[in-house]
Amino acid sequence: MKYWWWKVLAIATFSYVLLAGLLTPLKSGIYSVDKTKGLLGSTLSLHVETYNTYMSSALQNVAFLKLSDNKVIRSTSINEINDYTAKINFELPSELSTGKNAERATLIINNEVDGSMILPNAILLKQDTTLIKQNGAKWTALDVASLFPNKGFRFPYRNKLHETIRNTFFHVAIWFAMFILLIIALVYSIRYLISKDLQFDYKAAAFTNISIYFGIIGLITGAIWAKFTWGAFWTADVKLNMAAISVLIYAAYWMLRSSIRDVDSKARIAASYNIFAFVVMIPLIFIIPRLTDSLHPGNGGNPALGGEDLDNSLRLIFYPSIIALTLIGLWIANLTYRLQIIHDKTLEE
Amino acid sequence: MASQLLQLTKLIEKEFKLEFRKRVSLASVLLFLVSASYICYKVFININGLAWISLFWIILLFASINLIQRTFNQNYVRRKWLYYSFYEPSTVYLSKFLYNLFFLVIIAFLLLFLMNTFFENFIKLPSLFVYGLILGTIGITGVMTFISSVVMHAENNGVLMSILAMPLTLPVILLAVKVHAVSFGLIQDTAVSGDLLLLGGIDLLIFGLGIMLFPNIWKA
Repeated sequence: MKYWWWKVLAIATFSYVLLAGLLTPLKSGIYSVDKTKGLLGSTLSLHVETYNTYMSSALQNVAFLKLSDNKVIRSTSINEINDYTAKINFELPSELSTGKNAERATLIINNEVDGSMILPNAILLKQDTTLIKQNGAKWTALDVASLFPNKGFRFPYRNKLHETIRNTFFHVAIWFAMFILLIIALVYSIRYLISKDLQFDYKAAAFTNISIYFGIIGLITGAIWAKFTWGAFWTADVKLNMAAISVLIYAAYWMLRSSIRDVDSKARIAASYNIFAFVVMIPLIFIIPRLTDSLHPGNGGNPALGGEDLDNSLRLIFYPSIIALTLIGLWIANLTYRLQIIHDKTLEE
Repeated sequence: MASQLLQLTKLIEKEFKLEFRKRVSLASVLLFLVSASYICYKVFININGLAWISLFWIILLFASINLIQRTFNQNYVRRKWLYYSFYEPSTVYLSKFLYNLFFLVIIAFLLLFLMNTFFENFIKLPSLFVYGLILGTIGITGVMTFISSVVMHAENNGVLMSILAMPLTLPVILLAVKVHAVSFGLIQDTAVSGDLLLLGGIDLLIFGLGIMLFPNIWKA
């Protein structure tokens, strides 16, 4: 019990991540709207497709177009075609009365089963300058208390990510885990250079080895994610290429180890290279991506990890996932290290 | 300190003597420069500024591999007992570094001359270009000198040198290319002095790491 409790923890945490991460449903959201513009003073009829909703079984569907909290239009009617398509009619007021000619309104749909769905900046409301009709429709204030709340534990619905938001638990977490393992490898390299004890060199090699595999998995999961969100497996995105380069740097570490025969000089040289490579990698990963634009969150005007991209429901699984993957990496590194020791012993006999 | 300085000058003097006793290796690097830039000229004929910068740094990178991978070659390994018994590792490393830097700067300016002869001259801010060039050269020399000491005891070290060194020079080259793009007027950047500072910082880091880690390697 004393030595293997963390292995049980690794399996339990990773099973929790897999189950909760893949089985938890997304919040309901608005998938698409057929129009992007609306002329003020007329009737706006929208064909809306939603995701993960039960609109036909809901009895109290209501939709809003919202400019601000005090400027909201309530829908005149909603026809639910099925659970995830509906026709919504709005009677638009004749004036924006904000001094602007056009402004983007957010579409909100609410019912008692699904809670609220929001599509920000969905409809561009335009002033008709030639003809001002008076149809009696008025801006009202949004009564937040009358909206039905979202029920249950659910992941946020993001319009470009959809279900792929779950990849946060694997793609992002594995980079974190890789970096933690690389730091452990660095510490072992430094300890080797201080003590010249070969077991530290074996440990550093084992940790670097598993980090390379984690890096490759991180690149592959990222490529698949990019295909579904950015449209291509590989892009010129700076973080992508810097990550690939760091995997190359550590693959070269492995080449270096295999081309030196003498065990002691191999250990010394590999440890020195590992320290050098780690320090040079830091500008690649942390400084240069900040100087250029990136499609990744946190760069080029994209929000950083946080907000809706990493809300509390995702955090509940994302942080355990980092711990689980780090522990699994530790476990594999431990096995590789012990295998190396056995290998050495058989060579001696 | 004074004795170390004396040793340093002795070592560098010896490097020059050895180099000019057998001029063939230096001549081969020069020939590589001329033929590479001439091939680029025949292939591209007319190029834009960005292609100019990329070609410049790619040719310089390969020339530096050719030049610096001889730093800790068979000659050095044969004389290593001399080095072990008379010199400090930091003095040896510093002498190799300065010697490599000297030749790489000469090669860089020669390449600049060749590229400007074959293609048109795009440089709008010469001083900025030279700063980027010098700082980039220092960074490349730092990485290459350290890596050539790393592969000294390895088999097939020629291939290993490029595998190990090229990804590590990337942060230096990316920043230097950015500085050069500013000096060509390709991008507008008012904060280019920050980039130069960052480049200098990375150079210092690389050099410091090299001189710190070299004592572990040279007697391996």
